[in-house]
Amino acid sequence: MSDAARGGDLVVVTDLAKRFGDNAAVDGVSFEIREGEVFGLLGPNGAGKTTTISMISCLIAPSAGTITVGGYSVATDAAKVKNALGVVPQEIALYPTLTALENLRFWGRMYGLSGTLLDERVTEALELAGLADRAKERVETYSGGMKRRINIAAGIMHRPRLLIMDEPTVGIDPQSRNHILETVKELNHRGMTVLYTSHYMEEVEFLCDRVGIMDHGRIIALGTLDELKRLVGDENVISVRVADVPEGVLDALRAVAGVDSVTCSAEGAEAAAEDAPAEGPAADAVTTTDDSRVIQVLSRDSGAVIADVVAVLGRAGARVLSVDVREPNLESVFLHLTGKSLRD
Amino acid sequence: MRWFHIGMRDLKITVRDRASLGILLVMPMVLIIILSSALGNLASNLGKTPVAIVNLDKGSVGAQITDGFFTDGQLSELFLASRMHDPEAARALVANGDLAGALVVPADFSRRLNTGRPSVLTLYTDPGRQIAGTVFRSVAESLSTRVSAASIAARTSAYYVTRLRVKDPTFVGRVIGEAVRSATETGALTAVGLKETTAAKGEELSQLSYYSGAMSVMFLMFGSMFGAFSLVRERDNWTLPRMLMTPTPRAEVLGGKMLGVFLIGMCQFAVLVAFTSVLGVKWGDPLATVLVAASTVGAATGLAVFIAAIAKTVRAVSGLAQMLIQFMAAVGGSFVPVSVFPAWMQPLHYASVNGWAIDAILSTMRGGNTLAVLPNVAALLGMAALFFTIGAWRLRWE
Ligand SMILES: Nc1ncnc2c1ncn2[C@@H]1O[C@H](COP(=O)(O)OP(=O)(O)OP(=O)(O)O)[C@@H](O)[C@H]1O
Ligand SMILES: [Mg+2]
Repeated sequence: MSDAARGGDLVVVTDLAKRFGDNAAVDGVSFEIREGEVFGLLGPNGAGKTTTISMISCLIAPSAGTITVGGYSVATDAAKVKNALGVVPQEIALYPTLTALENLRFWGRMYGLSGTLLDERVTEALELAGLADRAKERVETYSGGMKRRINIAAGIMHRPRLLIMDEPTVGIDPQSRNHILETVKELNHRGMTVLYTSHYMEEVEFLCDRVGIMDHGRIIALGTLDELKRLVGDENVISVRVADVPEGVLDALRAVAGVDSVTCSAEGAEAAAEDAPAEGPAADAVTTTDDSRVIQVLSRDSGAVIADVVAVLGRAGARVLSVDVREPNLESVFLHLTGKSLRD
Repeated sequence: MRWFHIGMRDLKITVRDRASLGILLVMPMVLIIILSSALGNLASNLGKTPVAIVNLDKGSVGAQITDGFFTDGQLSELFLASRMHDPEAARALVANGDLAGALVVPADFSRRLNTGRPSVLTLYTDPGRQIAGTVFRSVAESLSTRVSAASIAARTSAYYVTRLRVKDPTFVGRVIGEAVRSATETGALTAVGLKETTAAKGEELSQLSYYSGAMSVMFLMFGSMFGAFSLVRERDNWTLPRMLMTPTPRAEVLGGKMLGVFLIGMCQFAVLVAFTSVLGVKWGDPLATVLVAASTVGAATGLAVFIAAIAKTVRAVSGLAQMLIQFMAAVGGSFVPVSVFPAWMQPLHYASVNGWAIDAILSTMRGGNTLAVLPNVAALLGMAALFFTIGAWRLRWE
């Protein structure tokens, strides 16, 4: 057994860096993951989440810095580290012309399972994925959400000490997403430590005990949810859904007295993107047809500012669909720290 | 044992992939038939087969055998028979492809049979028309069997007739007729040998045999392209990185991928051998053939790693692989025999997998044994090792 007891540090990452040519994909990252927790890495596209995970999983070698898992160094004890890990890649890393059952049996074998233990764990994983009844169908006939569930199942059969999940819910329907989030909670309850990356702050808020916020290869904030929210202070988010964004309106909003920052993102558009359901019956397809935008305004005095914001939008001819004011969340933390939205 | 599962998984994926099967199996089958018939008039099998009958027999038995080709409804449906008198002229017509075969009955045929001595019919067949030749031979065989049976029966009856001193000549006829019939039906001994000679030079192989070997080798080499595709795709689809993030060592992952290419190639070869054997191709010594096949597939496996290391994308793999495969097929004799190349080009075939492999297969088809193909096997394994070493050294994993 390792020296890290429950509550101790299972993973220690110190001054980790990775350069691809001139591009510093990861640029001096340090964090710890405690045994038994769900640790979140939150960051926009290109922040360096996947690169960080690839180094923890011994897939690529760091340019600088050290990583230990369960006390073993990734650089010198890769075999022992890999035995402790289950990795669910960001891509659906399955064989489309094999059935779910064949895929799971294969990946189980890659993790060293065989015989009746393999049979047992495959059955268990299929049940956890909620796909036991469709196990003998080819993965290519599955919907995006079902593929994601099998993608996860393939990484947990050997009951790893640390489960690493890289954006496991990208581009899937809400039903499958909920299923996956519940699965992660359940696995964590059973004692699995989880490293979860995402650019959906709702997921991270729902799942994670502690969160590292990444941007441009660096961790810009690290702590529990409460600690992070405190960073924003008493700033609230005014979130306005508009049908269109007339030219110059964002600058006009920034000029309003009491407004600290303004961002604009296409919410919802992304959720539909990757989930083009495979042919065949796919009941759980999403239908997100609107191309509305969400303008977020950070302000310490939301009550006073809200009327001005709506008035500016009205004058510019933007059609306002909804307005709401939220308590600080991870989104506003990110906004506060970087001046930009997590998704754009 | 993980490498074994990786290899079996790749075999399974290929068997389910229609596009791969089309290229690895259907295309060579079609090309073998097209090339060998285009160059060997296999197409004429579809119509009547032109044959010559040369009956030099001064007695009546020769006519009994050969008349069937002109009078029998079934036979004249199959064959377009013409009577000739010069065996050498008939042989020449078969040799240059104008006729599919010729049957020659020697002048003393009846006399020898009637005096109880064995005799020989000569059959010329065109090696380029295996199927027609086979049909012609089996017809000639069954005719000669019947005649020999009849001749034995006749002799036996004649013996009894003499012993019993029967005076009535019609009685003798009836007894003989009876005896001939019963002997024919029961199938008796062979007193008439059938000597078959291919019209071309003895050890020359048919076009069908040649292209069965040449095309099989060329399409075994396509295995390298699919192997490289698979490696590059797995890299892009994250299944290769995913394997590397499991406790499976790199060497085992690469070994498994190579086992897959190897298994696919050996299965492909087995199917092509079975297919061409049905068409009548004789591959020769099984051990030698398996050795040559395994080392050829080994070279294709090494080449797969090489191509995947040099070409980074599926498109680049396709371009590079096709270039290499076509080049080796051209200089190695997959399209036309190396012997028709100009002299300065001929040594080039030693630079190709195809050259060594086809050379070995042809030698085995001509009756060569395992010992005869060992140098080729060594050369092929050398190429396999060379491709693999460069490939494994340059291969990018992520
Ligand atoms: N193999 C590579 N070669 C060159 N550059 C790379 C490579 N992998 C990643 N990068 C670059 O490193 C940066 C970080 O990428 P990474 O994939 O780690 O981000 P991410 O946070 O996972 O983003 P996403 O949310 O899009 O998955 C990006 O600028 C990316 O282009
Ligand atoms: Mg990523």
